Amino acid sequence: MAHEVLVSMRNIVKRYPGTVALDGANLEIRRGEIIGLLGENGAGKSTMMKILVGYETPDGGEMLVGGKKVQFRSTREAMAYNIGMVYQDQALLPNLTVLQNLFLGYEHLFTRGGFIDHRKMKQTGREILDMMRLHCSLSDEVEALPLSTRELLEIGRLLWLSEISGRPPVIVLDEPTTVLDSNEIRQLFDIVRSIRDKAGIIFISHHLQEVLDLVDRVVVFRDGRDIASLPARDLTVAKIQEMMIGRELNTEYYLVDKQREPSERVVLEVKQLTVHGKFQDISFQLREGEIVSLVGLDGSGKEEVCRAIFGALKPDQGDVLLFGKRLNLKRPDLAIREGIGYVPQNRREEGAFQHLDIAANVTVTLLEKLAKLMFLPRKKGLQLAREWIEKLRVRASSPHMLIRQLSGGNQQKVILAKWLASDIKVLILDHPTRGIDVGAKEEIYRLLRNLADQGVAILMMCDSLEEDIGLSNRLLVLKDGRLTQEIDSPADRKPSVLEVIRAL
Amino acid sequence: MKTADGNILKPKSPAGLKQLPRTFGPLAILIGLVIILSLLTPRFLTTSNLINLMLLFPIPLILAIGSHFVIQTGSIDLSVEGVMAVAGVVTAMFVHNSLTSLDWGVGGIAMGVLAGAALGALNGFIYVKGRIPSFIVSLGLSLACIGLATIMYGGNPISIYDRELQNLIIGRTLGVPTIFWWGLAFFLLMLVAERYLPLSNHIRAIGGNELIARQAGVNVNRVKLAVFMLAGACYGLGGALNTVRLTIGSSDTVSGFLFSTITSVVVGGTALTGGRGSVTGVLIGVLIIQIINNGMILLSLNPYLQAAVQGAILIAAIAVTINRRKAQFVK
Repeated sequence: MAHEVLVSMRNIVKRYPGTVALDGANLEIRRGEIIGLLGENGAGKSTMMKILVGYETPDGGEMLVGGKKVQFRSTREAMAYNIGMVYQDQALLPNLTVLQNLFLGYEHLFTRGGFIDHRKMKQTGREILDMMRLHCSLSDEVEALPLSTRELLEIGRLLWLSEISGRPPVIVLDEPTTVLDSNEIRQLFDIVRSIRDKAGIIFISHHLQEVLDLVDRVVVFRDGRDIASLPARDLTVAKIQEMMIGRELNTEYYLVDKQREPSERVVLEVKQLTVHGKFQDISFQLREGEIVSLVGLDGSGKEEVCRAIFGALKPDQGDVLLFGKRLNLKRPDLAIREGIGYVPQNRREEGAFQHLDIAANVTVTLLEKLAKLMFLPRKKGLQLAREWIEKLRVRASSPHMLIRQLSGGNQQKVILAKWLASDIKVLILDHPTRGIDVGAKEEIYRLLRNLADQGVAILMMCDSLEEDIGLSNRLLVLKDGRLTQEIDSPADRKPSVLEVIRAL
Repeated sequence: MKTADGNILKPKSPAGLKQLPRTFGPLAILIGLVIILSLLTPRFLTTSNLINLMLLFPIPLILAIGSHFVIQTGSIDLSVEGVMAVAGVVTAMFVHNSLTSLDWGVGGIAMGVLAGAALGALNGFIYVKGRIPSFIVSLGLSLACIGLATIMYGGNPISIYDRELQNLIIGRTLGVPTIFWWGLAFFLLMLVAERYLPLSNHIRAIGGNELIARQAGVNVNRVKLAVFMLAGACYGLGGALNTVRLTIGSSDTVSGFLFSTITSVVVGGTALTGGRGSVTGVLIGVLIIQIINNGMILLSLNPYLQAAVQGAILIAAIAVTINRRKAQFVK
């Protein structure tokens, strides 16, 4: 039932420093077809979409829209071809009304002599609301509307834009269901189906069953390439999962032979920890020298669990005990004092002081210990920084180099050095290898193994399940804010990725 | 994020409360203020005092509306006094005066507005193209302008001889000061602009979230430039009227206007973080501030205490208008 080809992306290549995100990927978008775009984190699907909507420019390959070669340099240019993305983190302005949002940037289509003709604008606005079967008022402020309504408004705006230009739209729905409840999901699906004939639609979701329910064709991405494009009716969830993974675990890469058996001694105990609306009743233990991975889909609450243990998110209930002693979880500095370290996902904003030098970053958690009568012995700090630069093989000419002058991998090493130097008991890592090239990744793995050898208990979340399985002694599966399963991952009997995916 | 019961992330808003227009709070304060003052002093609700207020409030209103549009984008413009000074001196030089032989009448006021618009454009240009925080650019520009204005008249303030022109301000039309009608016309003009110009949507959008506005197709830099230029023109008009009213072209006549302008805008419900507020709100804000000042004088409050009250009002108004729970850090 697929007809005219709207967009054709061929052999798309995109490189980021140290990694190849897309390695000759193809995608054909046809009118009247809903495509389910699937793949693990890092498989390249989001990069592909960013290129489609003009957010990123490709390093190779070509893109044809309506048979014509195009190269978008901005989202605005893609919008001119009616190619747009409905973001999960909202692209409407909360402080404007529905009407103002619908026609933002296109008010000139409703002006007479430079002045807005409100009657004409409202009429078109009502038509859009009717089409999307929405019951909100045009004068409602978007802030007061539920997220599902906002998503539908965005879709309505894209459809209207395509109508006035006479060109069928290509709409990317990026994880639109994560913020919706089941009724709202049904409503969204109904509307998406009803506009199918007018548009080309790409649907991205981690919930595979949901994808199969809605889409006509499934495209699977793996390692930066499209590896399969099949009609949805021929597929099952299990089949898709197999396609998404398909690689043997490289035990050498993750230094599995260096994985140690944790001791019996419990370092950290989490008891019925709850943050309302994020996660409930999380209980687990970390033992000396143990590496534990939290796994779960987007929105499972794993990031929040880590932040709560570190004191960056205030729990509503529950306790965290370090060597049997209850921790005060009010502020991160209290956690640090007790010996808990945290490596955030967002290096640039949270992980390091970009404008300070290596020495300052390494010693920042040690200031109180190093200080003599409130004064900082600068020499000692420099000495320490030099030691760690050497130990971790940070590629830097001196401890005075600024963090922002270092590559991602070396920045991460400095952040780790900060915790290594401060004699911690527990280290929490949020995607420690994100955006780091392969060589530096290996060195980080080695560091983690060394830390475990020293008896540090490690809790982490990785970029891929493979990394989670390869590095950890144990996996904790989180689903919708609850701990649903524990999977052992000993060195000699690593679970398969498929096994873990099915538990998610 | 979704839990078992689904809709935890839905914004909660008490339906009844949000139906009230945002100008309701300031309006209630204004009415309360009028009642309290008329109870406290019999001199408040007299014809002469009301006419005095009508004479006083149009210039602050013009300044505040100009400033309001800038604040609505999330920027701030502190160049009020400097631009007023230059515009005032320019106006003084173009009307019948002690320094030059020109006599352009109302054309002199237009020259003041033009000078203001030019300075506003410069202000916006440095801010947008130089990517320097607007608060620093406008503060620097203001100081530079005060210096420039003083150099222009060489230290001897210019006297204005054009009584006819002065009459267009302090004279009476239909029983009230003519400047009141100027202010009213200006307000109505801005009300129309707010409702019918696409620009006003774009201003609010930028204040809400610049990135989203850009993605939606708003030319952010052009809007910012336009807003600073409009603000400059407003300060220019205010400066010109101020000069003609006082019949003196001098940079000493502008002190105090910046503070009362910002306070009025914020009291009127325009959030300093941008995206909120209306021209009507600004009108109410200006009335509140002018009436408070007027009341404090009528009650013969110690002038130093008056200043303290004004400062406290600004801080209180900001505390009320900014949603501080949303702000992660306050700097």
